[in-house]
Amino acid sequence: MKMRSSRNANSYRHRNVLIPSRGILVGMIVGVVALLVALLHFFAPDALTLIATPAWKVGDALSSGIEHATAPFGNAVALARDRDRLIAENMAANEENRMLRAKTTDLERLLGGRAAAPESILAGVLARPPVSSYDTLVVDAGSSRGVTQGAYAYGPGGTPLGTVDSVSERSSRIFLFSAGGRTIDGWVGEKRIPVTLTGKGAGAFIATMPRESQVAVNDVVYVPGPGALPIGTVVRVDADPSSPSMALRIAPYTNLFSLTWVTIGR
Amino acid sequence: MRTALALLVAILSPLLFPAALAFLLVLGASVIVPPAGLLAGVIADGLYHVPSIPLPYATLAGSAASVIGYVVHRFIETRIMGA
Repeated sequence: MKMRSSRNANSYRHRNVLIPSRGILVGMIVGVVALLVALLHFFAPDALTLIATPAWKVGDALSSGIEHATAPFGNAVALARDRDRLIAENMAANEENRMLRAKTTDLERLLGGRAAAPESILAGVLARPPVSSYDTLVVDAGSSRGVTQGAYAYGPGGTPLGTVDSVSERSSRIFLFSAGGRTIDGWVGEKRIPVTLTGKGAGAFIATMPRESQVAVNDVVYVPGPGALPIGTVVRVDADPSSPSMALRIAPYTNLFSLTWVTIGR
Repeated sequence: MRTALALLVAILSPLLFPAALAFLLVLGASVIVPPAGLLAGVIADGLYHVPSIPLPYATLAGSAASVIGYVVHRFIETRIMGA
């Protein structure tokens, strides 16, 4: 009897056009939430960031937890690979140090004293690639702390990362130079050969140069900032004998996936 | 229950997982609740889109996931009803 009445209720429900079906109801709820998110994006981006911050923090905690939990399972080959990578990074850091020392000497000669470091704003990174699509960083500093649109953002060691693209009161979004398809002019090598870098995502770049350019693997790539700022190194040169040009694959100095703090120029 | 889980996946995926993995999860959620893809796309654009990018690609990808999810959903529904 009870079954029959529930079946009757269901058939009544399907017949009554004024009561929406479950699918339509879910669709309507999703539509309202999507509309709300879109409105917040345009009119109150800070609120959206505030709501998402706990989830981003949980995501960060999970990633670092997984990394720690799986660390003991690393085999000898992986450790050897890590050691080689660290040696390579150490060499790159030494090279960078040499360059920075030379640059400081040049600047001191030019300015007649120690060059003062430009003022900058320290900002915590809330979301970063690969979680944030579009190669953007969401940081916890906004217009209330003096962040302005178009300001440069720097990673550890002053490596330029991108520019501030949108600012709200308490947060801002940094559009990375390495975003897919974004181009930026720079230089490569000690001779500072001009080159146009095209972003490939996650910090990597590609550049095309004439074959006769004297560029080799491990050459440093610079972008304009205050002077020429090193952004990465050439890791591969693809030269096709039948082509008059060659492609440079550039790896960044900064690992964007583990970036926690950035500085933003004033 | 499945509907709530699918919606939860759609909301949390853009916040917790890399974009490619999030897309796959959202695609799965869209099979259960087709509008979930669109919702995830709008959330991703709301959080990460910057004015320099001309189109809201995440919303477009989410819409595509919704359409695929809807087609698969209907197909499964027809198969179950037909059996």
